[in-house]
Amino acid sequence: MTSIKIKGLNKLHLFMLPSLLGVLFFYLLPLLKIFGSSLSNFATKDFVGLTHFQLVLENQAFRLATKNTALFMLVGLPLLMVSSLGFAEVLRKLPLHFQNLKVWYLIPLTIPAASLTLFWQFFFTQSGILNSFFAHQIKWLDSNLGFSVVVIIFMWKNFGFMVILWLGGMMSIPKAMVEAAQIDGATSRDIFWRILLPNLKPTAFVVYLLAIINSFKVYRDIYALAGDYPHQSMYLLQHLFNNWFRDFELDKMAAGTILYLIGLLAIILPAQRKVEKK
Amino acid sequence: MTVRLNKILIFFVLLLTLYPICFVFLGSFMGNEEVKQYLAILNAKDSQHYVSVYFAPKFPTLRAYVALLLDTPEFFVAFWNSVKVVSLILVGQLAINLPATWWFIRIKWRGKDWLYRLYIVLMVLPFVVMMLPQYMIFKQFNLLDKLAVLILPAIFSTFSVFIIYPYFRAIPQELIESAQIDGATEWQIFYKIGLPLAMPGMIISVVLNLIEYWGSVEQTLAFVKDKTLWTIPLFVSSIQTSKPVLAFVSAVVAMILPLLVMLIFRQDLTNGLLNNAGEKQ
Repeated sequence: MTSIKIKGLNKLHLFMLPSLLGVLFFYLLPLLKIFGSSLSNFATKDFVGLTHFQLVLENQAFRLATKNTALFMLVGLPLLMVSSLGFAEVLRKLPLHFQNLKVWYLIPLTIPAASLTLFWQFFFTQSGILNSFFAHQIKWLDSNLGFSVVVIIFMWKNFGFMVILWLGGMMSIPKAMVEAAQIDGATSRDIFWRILLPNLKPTAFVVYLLAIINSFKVYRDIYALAGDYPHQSMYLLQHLFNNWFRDFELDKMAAGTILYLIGLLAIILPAQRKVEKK
Repeated sequence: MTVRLNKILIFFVLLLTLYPICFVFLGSFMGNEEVKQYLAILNAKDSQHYVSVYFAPKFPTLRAYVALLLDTPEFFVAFWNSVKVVSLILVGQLAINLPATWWFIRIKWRGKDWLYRLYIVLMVLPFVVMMLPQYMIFKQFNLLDKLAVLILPAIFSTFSVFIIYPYFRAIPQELIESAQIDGATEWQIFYKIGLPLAMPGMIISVVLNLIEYWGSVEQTLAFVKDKTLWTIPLFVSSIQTSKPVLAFVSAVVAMILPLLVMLIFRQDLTNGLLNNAGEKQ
């Protein structure tokens, strides 16, 4: 009996082996290696302890980029998640033929960033479409308003995707539950707050993860729109890392990578734990 | 009253969503002169004229399409590179990640929860975090400046595990057990029961990854210096400076493929997209 079990077990592990090897080689090993490199000099391989970390933490550009990236996520993620949830709730209550429109909201997600650079330029430039509404030459790309440009592009691209995710979560909640509440005289507001929202926790986690993943991709648009050195209100960690990479500042980059990694773990792991607890 | 307001809201958001795409489409039918006029506005800092929101070609023409498709060999090279890279990634991802996800469902081992958590963290990591670490490995193994550098790491991306997981998990345990009693091997169960039932998940995974890798630029910029290996998004970006009159039309051609694929599979994408993907086993 045991021999059969062991045999079966072994066979099952073959399913996992290729993925595990690839993940080890392309993700875990490189990360481990960079952890070692961050503690030593890149050129001479001398052990330098935490001096590179100190260097990076004192670096003005790193502070600016971290501040911008953190602020962007702090504003962008809640804004996106809450507004798309509200919109999904509006859409849910409308007749079915309105809900069939939802596929059109998904379109922005499919468009490569490079294809829309031109539009964003025409939209935000000084004599652009946006300013034609104000009849004022507002400098969207060359002032602190640049931050709102980042948020607007992020919202435009991901709003529909998140709406569809929320709607999917709402659809998976048993209709009987909602109907029973309606019979008991619950208003649609009650239904949203007391029935839908508590049951959307797993969906919220998915939305949160995908919103984080896509928040990094806004860099593609900003880079194509404003280049290596955009106005300082748009300067994200990705700009900094790419500039470091191009200028071969690998010492700083290694330490920066580790710091960035720690920051990301700090926002992913607590959410994961919370969902698992339920 | 609120219902009417809501309907207006729905259409207003739809307009905002589709306007930028229509803008690019309309721009692609402009003649050279007209595109040049508009580009002049972009470059002139103190122009008194604003770009109108009613943006449309005065004399619609297909000349830009002809110029791009018949007279721009770099376009075909980039397009073919993209097709090659993306299709190999998509096939590879399914071949690697479908069995891996099956393992997560079937294995009875405590450590798998931790491994799954690790996979989720890896899926969220942005490319900048992996840029230097991967660069060092690629350099060591002489992979830089090859298309393999774009394909291999993407194949082992753990994102599809996360997508397909709930579809495998929804398979009733009894179904698998009865197949086992009938003497089916693990591979047969996976192939004959698992895969057909996880079809919607596979489609979602393929479409989302296609969108992602068709538009990705970071890896190419960091690891591939050879311009003959550039993919479509880099071509689109570079043509804005080298042949600006073709900028609109190349933007349109670059977005056609993911757009079509999304529209073809719209049913699978909108019916409970990623339902319960976050739920724990």
